[in-house]
Amino acid sequence: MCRKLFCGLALLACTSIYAKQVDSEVADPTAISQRIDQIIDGRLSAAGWAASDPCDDASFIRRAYLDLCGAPPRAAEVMDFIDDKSADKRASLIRRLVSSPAHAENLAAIWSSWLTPERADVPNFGQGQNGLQNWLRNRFAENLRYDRLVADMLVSTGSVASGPTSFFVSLESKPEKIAAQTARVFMGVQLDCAECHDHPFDQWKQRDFWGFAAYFAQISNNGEMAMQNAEVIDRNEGEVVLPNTEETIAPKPLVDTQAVNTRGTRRQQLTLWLTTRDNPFLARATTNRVWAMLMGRGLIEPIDDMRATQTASHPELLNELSSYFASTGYDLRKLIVAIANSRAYSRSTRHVAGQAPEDLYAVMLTKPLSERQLASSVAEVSRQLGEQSRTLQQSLGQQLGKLRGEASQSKLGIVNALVTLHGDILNQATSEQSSRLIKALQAPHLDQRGQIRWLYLTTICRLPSPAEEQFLSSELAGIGETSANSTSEAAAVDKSSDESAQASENMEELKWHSDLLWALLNSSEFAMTP
Amino acid sequence: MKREIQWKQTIQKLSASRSIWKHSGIGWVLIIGGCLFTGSGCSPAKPIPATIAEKAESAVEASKSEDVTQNTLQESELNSSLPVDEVAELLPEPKHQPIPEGNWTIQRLIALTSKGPVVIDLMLRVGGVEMAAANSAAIQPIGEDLLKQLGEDPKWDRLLELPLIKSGWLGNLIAEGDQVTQLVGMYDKNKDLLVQSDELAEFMTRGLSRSQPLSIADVGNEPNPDGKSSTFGPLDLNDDNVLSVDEIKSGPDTLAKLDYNSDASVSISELSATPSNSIMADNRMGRSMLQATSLIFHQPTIAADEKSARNLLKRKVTDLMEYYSFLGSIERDQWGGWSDQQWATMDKNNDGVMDKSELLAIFEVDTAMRIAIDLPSPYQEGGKTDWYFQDLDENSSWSSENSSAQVHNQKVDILVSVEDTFSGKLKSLLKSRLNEAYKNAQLKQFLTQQLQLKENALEVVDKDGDQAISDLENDSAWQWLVARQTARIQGRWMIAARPWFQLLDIDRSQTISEFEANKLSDVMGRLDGNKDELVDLNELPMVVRMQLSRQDQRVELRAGQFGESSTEPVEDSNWFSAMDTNRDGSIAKQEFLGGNSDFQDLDRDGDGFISKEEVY
Repeated sequence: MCRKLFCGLALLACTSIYAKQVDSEVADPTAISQRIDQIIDGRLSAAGWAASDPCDDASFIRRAYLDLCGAPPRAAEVMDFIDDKSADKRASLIRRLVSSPAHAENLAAIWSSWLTPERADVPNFGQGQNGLQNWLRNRFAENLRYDRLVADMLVSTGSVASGPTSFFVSLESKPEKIAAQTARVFMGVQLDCAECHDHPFDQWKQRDFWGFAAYFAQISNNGEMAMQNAEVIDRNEGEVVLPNTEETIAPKPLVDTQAVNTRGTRRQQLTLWLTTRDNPFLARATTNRVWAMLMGRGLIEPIDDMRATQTASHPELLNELSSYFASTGYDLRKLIVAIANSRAYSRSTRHVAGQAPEDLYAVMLTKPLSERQLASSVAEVSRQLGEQSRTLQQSLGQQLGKLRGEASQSKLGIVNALVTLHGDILNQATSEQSSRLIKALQAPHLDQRGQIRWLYLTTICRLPSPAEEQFLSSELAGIGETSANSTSEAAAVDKSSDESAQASENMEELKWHSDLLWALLNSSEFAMTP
Repeated sequence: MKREIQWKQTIQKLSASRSIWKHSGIGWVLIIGGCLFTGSGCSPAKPIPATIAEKAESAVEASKSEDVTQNTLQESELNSSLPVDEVAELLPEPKHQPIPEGNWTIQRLIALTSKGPVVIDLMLRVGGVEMAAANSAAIQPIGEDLLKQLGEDPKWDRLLELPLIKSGWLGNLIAEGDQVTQLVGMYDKNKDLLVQSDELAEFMTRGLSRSQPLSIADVGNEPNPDGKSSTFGPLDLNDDNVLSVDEIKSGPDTLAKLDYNSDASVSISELSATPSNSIMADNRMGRSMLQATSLIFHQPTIAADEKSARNLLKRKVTDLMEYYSFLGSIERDQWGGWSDQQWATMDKNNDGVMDKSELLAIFEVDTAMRIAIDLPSPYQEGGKTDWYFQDLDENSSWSSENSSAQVHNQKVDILVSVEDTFSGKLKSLLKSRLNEAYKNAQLKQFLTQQLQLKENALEVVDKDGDQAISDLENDSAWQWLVARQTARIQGRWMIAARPWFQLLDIDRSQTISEFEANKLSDVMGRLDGNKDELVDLNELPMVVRMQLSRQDQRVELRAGQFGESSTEPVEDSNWFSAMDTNRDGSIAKQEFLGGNSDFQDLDRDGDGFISKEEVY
């Protein structure tokens, strides 16, 4: 107990003092946004490129919603945003979204997918995932400083139901797996290679890996493999052995810092090392991940393999943003706001001069919708929220093969396309018989133009362009004429066919709307974040 | 008391009682240090705040500090509790508003709450007169005009041929063939085939009795507003419908996480904004009140005589008893919220059990409050609805706006909304819609159906045939509608029933403060009848279980058949339910597909939601 108390107080003192020290150094978030643009624009200019124009409001609100909340905006919100004439409406939107519970939910889903494997040989694996996601959601909702969130999770004990310990149990409580995942997510380091041999392209040796893994060697799941029964505790025994030898490896951090500590449990020692101010990993890795989450590409790629030999596309930017993140007391929300308020985030995805290299950020990179974003978008089109939306997401998840990890977040373009083209879910969402959206569009206050406009707004969150509107209106008029011709022939045979003629025309229109909806859902625009 | 102490001790054994409200650092301290509260000297002692307000203020102040040790309230402070009278002092001042003298139409509600029945009189009048008089005033001049048109030969068959009648603007929609004879037979009371003025009045209003302007429809299944299946809402972490010691221990923590606006309290609206899908959730006050306790309605002014009134009461109670088939009788300890004095007034034979005959006496419980709604005359331009509230025996908080009002007190939380179909705003809407309908065939068809008219009825309004409606023409149409429907008033009554929330909300402020959250163990401890350190559903008060067993809690008052028919979507009305994505029976702005002006047109009462009644 004494040891725990001491270590707790030490950590407490460390973070508190640190927080006070950095307060005076915290930069103005607006200044950080401007600094982002200054660095990005400087590099663009040096490379002979100009930044693309800012995106239109419709693209911006869809982008912001999908990135920050994992769901598209409602059609009415898009219109309100377009109509809003205030100068700072984009910044206001960002402020509102990052404070919303949906943002916390979204971050929790993303972090959960980063932390836990796609599937594991653990009974009732899914239960633990939900617990972890709920735990993360609550912390993101209160904007708990990120270093503390990481620390809370890494030293957590108790049942999986409490949330954070499912991180360990989902990795089968194996030190080597936990170490690899911890390094990957919180440090941006891929140690996996070093598990079996010295890393061929990086500085890490096999001893480094096992020294790091030794911090998790004394974890116990109480002998329970099943997720719901496991209870994580720290024992006073347990070591790791260098493979193919009998050599016990002592815990050792990847790099030495002032905070190396040998008191407390091993996990507490590691956590103290990872979350103190002079640790070189946590702020950089997190900044790079958040940047990639919003901008579609990390300042260093891949985001979980930030080797010493890898140079960031904008080293200065990564350094300054990481420092800013640390200086705010690891305030994730401020970091996100700073990036989202930059001009770089507001850019159009198109460039008049062609395709600039991705790492210049001349344009906003389009991002394929993640599984969660896709499910939310389809739910919106299906006009099924709440429980129906969750069911839809589960069904979609099954169709997508429950891809997890990085893939589930951004690399689903082809899979998305296959699912949307052939899936029952989409067929149901677009059929004139079952589509709630098409039914809703039959409201008497909507004329044909209104129907087309709100169909666009609900699916791809923008109004049709004048050219699209003209084309679609003429197509729709053609439907009416065709229907009228065929019914006038019928009328010659049957005088009482006025009503059936009207019904026939209505049905043709419904089918036409169904076709248009199907086409929109299968457009690349729907499948991508603008 | 002993039980409470046992609970407290058990929980304190598991972890020191703690306040984590807004204390982001405390989780860390507890995990690592394990015993911050037991370690002395971690933080300097602070004076114990004396009131909830001070506590909340001190918590907010503390949360501003970066030093987590200073954020932490002291154990002694957390174990302190406010005396009951101190809590009472913090209750909102009751507001009594004298109800103007005059004749009112009274609708009586008897709400069965966990703290006993509450009788509420809903009083209505239109244009300063009671409903029946208002209706007569609307009908009489038009009836006289019709009789004048019939001249000296006022036969029913001639009446039915008049354009106003044939088109459906007044009277029943005319059926064909034998049904005409049947219809006339219904209204021609003396069978002389001649139209009498009293027969005409009844016919013009389609049989809606002028003495019964309101009828009741109890409709709707509403979802659990918490999005959790457990009765204990977010407190029940594993959703197993049982509150364990651990869950109670973490209760304050759980509630603190719901404090989205960081004001050191959890409000009803914050509960509605549950994280999942909350970006799409409607932040609507009414949503917090979707579940309600049972209501029995009694209409004292409707029954023609004493015998009828008594029969009506019996039927209501019989219905209630049948609905709750398990409810053969109610025992004293199942109505724990009642004082002995209250119970004694009900348990006439003093046997500790309330049977059916005694239950009937519920109807004799004194009225607790009166809510009076003074609607403007349908002919008064810019008329405004006035609300009055008279609190007879409770400390209630009360607020009202033009179309709705809220009452909160120790027993019930009520949201009342009233839609006056004949407001001046709707009169101008009628004109604009009629004008649009002449240009748009689809709208014309829709409007004809909506107004329950025969085909081509809109042409009757356009007397000069210019395909446009003048103010004069609109005035006529307006008067016909008013006369036909009388004042179509509908009210919605929703009584809150989040049992766990109600139990914790000690000061009935509709928010759970930090102080109240920390009283969780005391409140739940009292319910643990078998002392197994678990609170399960069987330990909830009977009446709470009653309200939980019944989901359809929204009660709507409607004017006769018109209102009732509007509860069911008409055949071609799927667009409404398809637009209602969260399926709460109304369309919020966020759900709406259409322009702002369309929304405003359809949202007749301007409450920010389009209801079915506003559309159909």
